[in-house]
Amino acid sequence: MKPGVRLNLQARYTVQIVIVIAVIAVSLTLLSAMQFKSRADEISGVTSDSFAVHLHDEVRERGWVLEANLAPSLAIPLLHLDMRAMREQLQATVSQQDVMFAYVYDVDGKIVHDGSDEVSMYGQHIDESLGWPASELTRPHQHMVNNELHVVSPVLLGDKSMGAIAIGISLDSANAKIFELEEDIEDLHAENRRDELRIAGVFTVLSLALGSLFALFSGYRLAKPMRVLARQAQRVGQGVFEDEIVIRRNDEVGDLANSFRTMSYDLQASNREINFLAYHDVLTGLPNRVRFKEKLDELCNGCKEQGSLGAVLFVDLDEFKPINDTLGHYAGDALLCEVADRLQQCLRTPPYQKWCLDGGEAQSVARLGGDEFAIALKGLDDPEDAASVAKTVLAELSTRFRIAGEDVTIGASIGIAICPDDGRDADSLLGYADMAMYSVKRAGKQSYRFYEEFMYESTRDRVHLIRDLRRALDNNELQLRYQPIADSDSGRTVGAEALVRWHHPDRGLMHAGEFIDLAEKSGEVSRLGRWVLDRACQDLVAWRKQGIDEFFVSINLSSQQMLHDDLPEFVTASLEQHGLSTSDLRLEAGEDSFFADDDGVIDLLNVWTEAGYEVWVDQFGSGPASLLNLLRVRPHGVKLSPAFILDITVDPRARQFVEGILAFARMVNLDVCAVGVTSEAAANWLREHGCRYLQGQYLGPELSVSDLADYLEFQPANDRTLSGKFNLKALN
Amino acid sequence: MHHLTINIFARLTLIVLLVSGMNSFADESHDTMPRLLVMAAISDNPRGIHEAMQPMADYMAGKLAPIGIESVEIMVVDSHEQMVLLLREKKVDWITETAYSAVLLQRRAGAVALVRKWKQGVPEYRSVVFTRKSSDVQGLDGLVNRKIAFQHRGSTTGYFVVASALKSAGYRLQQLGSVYEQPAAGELGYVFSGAEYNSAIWVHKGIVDAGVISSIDWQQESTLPEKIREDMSVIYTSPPIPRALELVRGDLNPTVKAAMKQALLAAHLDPEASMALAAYHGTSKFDALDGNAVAALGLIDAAIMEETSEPVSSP
Repeated sequence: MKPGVRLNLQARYTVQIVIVIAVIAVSLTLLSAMQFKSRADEISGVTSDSFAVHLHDEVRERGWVLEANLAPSLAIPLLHLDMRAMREQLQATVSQQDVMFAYVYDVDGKIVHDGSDEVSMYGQHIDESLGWPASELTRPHQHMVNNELHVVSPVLLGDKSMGAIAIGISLDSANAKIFELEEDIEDLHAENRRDELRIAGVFTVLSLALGSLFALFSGYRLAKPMRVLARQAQRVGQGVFEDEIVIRRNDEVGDLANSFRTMSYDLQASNREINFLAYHDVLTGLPNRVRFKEKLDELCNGCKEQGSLGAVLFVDLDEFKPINDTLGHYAGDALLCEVADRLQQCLRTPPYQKWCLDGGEAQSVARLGGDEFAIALKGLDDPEDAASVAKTVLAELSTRFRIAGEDVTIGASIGIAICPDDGRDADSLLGYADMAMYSVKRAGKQSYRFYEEFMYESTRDRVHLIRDLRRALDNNELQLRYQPIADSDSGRTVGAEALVRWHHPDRGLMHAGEFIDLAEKSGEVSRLGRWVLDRACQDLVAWRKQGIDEFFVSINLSSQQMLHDDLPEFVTASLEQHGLSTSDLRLEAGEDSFFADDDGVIDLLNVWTEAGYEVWVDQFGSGPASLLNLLRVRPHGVKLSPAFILDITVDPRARQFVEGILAFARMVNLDVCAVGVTSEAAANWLREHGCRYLQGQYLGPELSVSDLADYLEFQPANDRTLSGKFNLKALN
Repeated sequence: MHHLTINIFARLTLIVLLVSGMNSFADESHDTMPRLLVMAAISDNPRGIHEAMQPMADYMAGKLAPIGIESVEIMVVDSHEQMVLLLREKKVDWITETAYSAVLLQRRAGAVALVRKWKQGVPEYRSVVFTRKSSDVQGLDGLVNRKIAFQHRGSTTGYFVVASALKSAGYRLQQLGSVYEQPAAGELGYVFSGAEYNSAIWVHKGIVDAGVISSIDWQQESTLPEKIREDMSVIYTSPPIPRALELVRGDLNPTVKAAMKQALLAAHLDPEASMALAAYHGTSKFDALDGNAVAALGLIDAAIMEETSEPVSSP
C-alpha cells in the first residue's frame, strides 16, 4: 500500500463493515421496493377490476331500480295520455344522476314522451339501438352500448302492454369513479412507496449509523490489541523484553498475544544466547576478544578515574599446534578448556582474586582466539604484581596435562602491558601486550616480558612500511632500474638485470632487499612480482621500438612468488600481449629459494625451463646451496655472488675459488655470470677464465629505462662493446 | 280531524242540501262572538297549505284580537264536498278559493265572498281557447266535429267558463270516452286532459284540435312551454273573472266579518302584513269586489244553475 493512502486495521475493518451494511441495507430497500411495487400493482389491478365490476353492477342495479319505479307509474298516464304525469316521472328519472334519457313509447314503438317540456321527440320511432318493440317486450332488459347502460321495460296495465320505457344510464361517472379510484390507489401506493422509501431510508441511515458505530467499536476492539502488540513488537525489536503484555482474551487475539508473549520470551532467551555467543568463546565459555576489549576499556577508564594500575597479560601457548596436529582437534579443544580452567584457577588464589575485574576470574580471563588467552587485572599496587601473576600462570601451565589419555606438556609466552603506563585504551594495551608476548616468543618462549617502547617501534615500522608499500603499488610509485649485463667475449651489452626500486617519500630510495621480505610477509609479493614483469615487458617493447634488439631482461623471482602456480601462465600471457618471446626474459631465482628443500619449488622451476625460459641461480655460492638440486633442476646458469668477485684482483685464493667454480660450471654445462665486476682487471680476468657474462659497476651502473637506451646508443651498433674502458691487454 | 268519516257524511249531506236549497242557510241568525277562527283550504298538500296560510293566520289573529278573537287556526280539507259540510257545521269560518269554487260554496254552503284576492299579484284572469297555428280551426265555429281538451270539471277557466260560453252560444258538446275517440257529426267533442300541460301538448301534437287554458297559464312556462306557445294561436278569450276570493261562513259574526274585511283590505298597506301576504299565494293585495267581478260571479252562478239542471256525463 502506498504511504499516502495507508489505512490502519481499524479504519479498514470499519470501512468494510460499513460497506457490507450499506450493500445489505440498499439491497433490502431495493428488494422491498420491488416487491412492494409488484404487490401494489397486483393489488391495484385486482382492486380496480373488482371495483369496476362492482360499480357496473351497481349501475345495473340502479337500472333495475329505475325501471321498476318508472314502468308501473307510467301505465295510467299512458292510458290517459297524461303528458304531465309522464313528464314528471320522466324528468324525475332523468334528473337522477347519470341518467341520460328516459323515454316512454307506445306499442308501435313511437315515442310518447321524451321527458322534455315540449316533447320534441313525440311520435318518433324509438332508436333501433334500443331496439325493443314494446309489443315484444314481456320483461325488462338491459344491455351495454358503448359507455351506456340501456334499460327497456314494458309498461303493463294488468297483462296488457301499454307501451314501454327506455332509460339510458351513462357509465361515465362510474368509469370516472373507477379512474378516480385507480388514481387514488396509485396516489395511495405512491404515498405508501414514499413512506416505505422514507422508512427504508431511515432504516438504511440508522443501520449505517449503528453499523458504523459497531464497526468502529469492534474495529477499535480488534485494532487496540494489535496496536499494543505492534508497539510491543517495536520495543522487542529495540531489545526491550521487560514489558508485560497485558492482553488477556479468550479468542484469536488472545492466542496471538500468547504466541507473541511466548515468542518474546523465546526471543529474549535466544537474544541472551546470541549475546552470550557474541561476547563469549563457545569452546571455553570465557569472554571473547570483543567482550574482553569492552572490559579492558572499562578497566582503562577505571584506572584513569581512580589513578590505579591495571594490567593485561597476553598468554600464548607454546607447542600447542603439534599437540593439535598429533592428538587431533578434540584433544586440542580439551586442552584449551583445561587451560581456561587453570587460568581461572590461578586467579582464584589469593591475593590475585582482588585484582580480578568485576565478576571475578570468569570475567578477567578471555580467550582471544586459537591458543591465545588474555588476563586483565585491576587495582594493582605495582607492575610487579602482574609479573607475579604471570609467573604463577607459567608455572601452572607448564604442569603436565592429561589429555585424551596422554600426558601432555606445553608452555606459554606471556606479554604484559600496564595501564596507564603503557596504554590507556584496550586496543593499545592488548597490542602492546601482544608485542611483548611476541618478543618472548622470539627470545625463546616459556617466559614473560613487560612491554617496552622498542617493541612498539619496530612493529610500528613494519606496519607503516607495509601500508606504504601497498599504497606505492596502488599509485605506481615503484620503478624499475636496469643494470647492464655484458657478453665478456664481445664486450657488448646483451641484457640487463631489472632491479625494483622504491622512492619512499620519507625513507628515500629503497632497494628491493629492504622491502621484498616485507612484501612476502604481507602477501604483497605476488602483486609486486607481476608489476615488475609487466613493467619489464613494457620497457622491452619500448626499447624494441628504438631499435634495441636481441636484448634480454633478467628478472628476480622470490620463492613466495614462485609458489603461485599461475605465474608461468601470467608471464607467457604477458609476453604474448607485448609481442615478446621467452628468450627475451631470464628468470633469476635466489639460491635460498632455489635450493629450499621443497619439491613444489623444484617442480615449478622445471615448469619454467620446460616452457623455454632461461632460469638462473642468483647469488650462487653464498647461500644454503645444495648441489643435488642443481642436478635436479638443471638451470641455465648461475650468477656468482659479488662476494667472490670483489676480491679476485687482490686475493689469489679467491681467484682459485672462482677458477674452480668456472671450471665446474663448464664441466656441468652451466653458463656463469659474474656480478659485482667493478674493475677492468676483474673483467679481463673473468673473460680470460671463461666467464661468459659480466655485470657490475665497471660494465654499467643502474640506469633508468630511458638512460639505458641512451647508454646503448653510445655503443656502435655492430660493436656494442665496452672497449673504451676495456683493455684486455692491461690485465695481462 | 276526522276527514275520512266526515267525507262519507259529506257526500250524503250534499244530496240533501242540493234538494233543500241554499238561501235558507244565509238567513239564519248570526253566531255569537267566537274566540276561535278556523281558516280552511281544499288541498292534498296540508304542509304546503300550512306554510302558505300560517303567517296570514297569525297576522289576522293579531288584527282580530281587539274584537276577542284569541286565535286563528288552519284546517286542510281534501274535497269540495267536505268543505261544504264543514261550513254548514260552522266548523270552518274562512276560505280562500277561485271563482268557480267560490260560487259553488256560496250556493251550496252559504259562504259569502268577502274580498277579491290578488293571487300571485293577479286580480283577474280569463279563459283562452287555442289551436295550432297550422290548424285550419280559426274560431270556435271550426270546432264542430272536432275535439277540444278541457282541464277538468272543477276548473273555472279551464272548463267552466268556456264550456258555459259554448253552450250558451248553442254549440252541442259531446264528452268523448277517450282522447282517441271522434265526436258524432255536428257535435263538438271534448275531453278532460287533467292538466293545462296535457291540453297544450295534445293540441301541439295534434291529438286534439283545441285546448282551453287560463290566461295566467298561457303565460306560464311550466304549463305552456315557450316553444309550444309559439306554435299556437288563440281563437277565443273569455271575459275577466276574479282570480281568487276570500270567503267567510255566511253566519259568521258580523263584527268579525267586518273586522276581517277591514283588516284584509288594509293589509297591503301594513308593513307587518307583507310577509304574510307574500306567503299567502303571493298575494299583493285584497280589494273589494267591483261590478265586473260580481257580474262574472253571477255568470258563473247562472251557468252552474244551468248545468245542475242538465247534468253532463262525467269521464
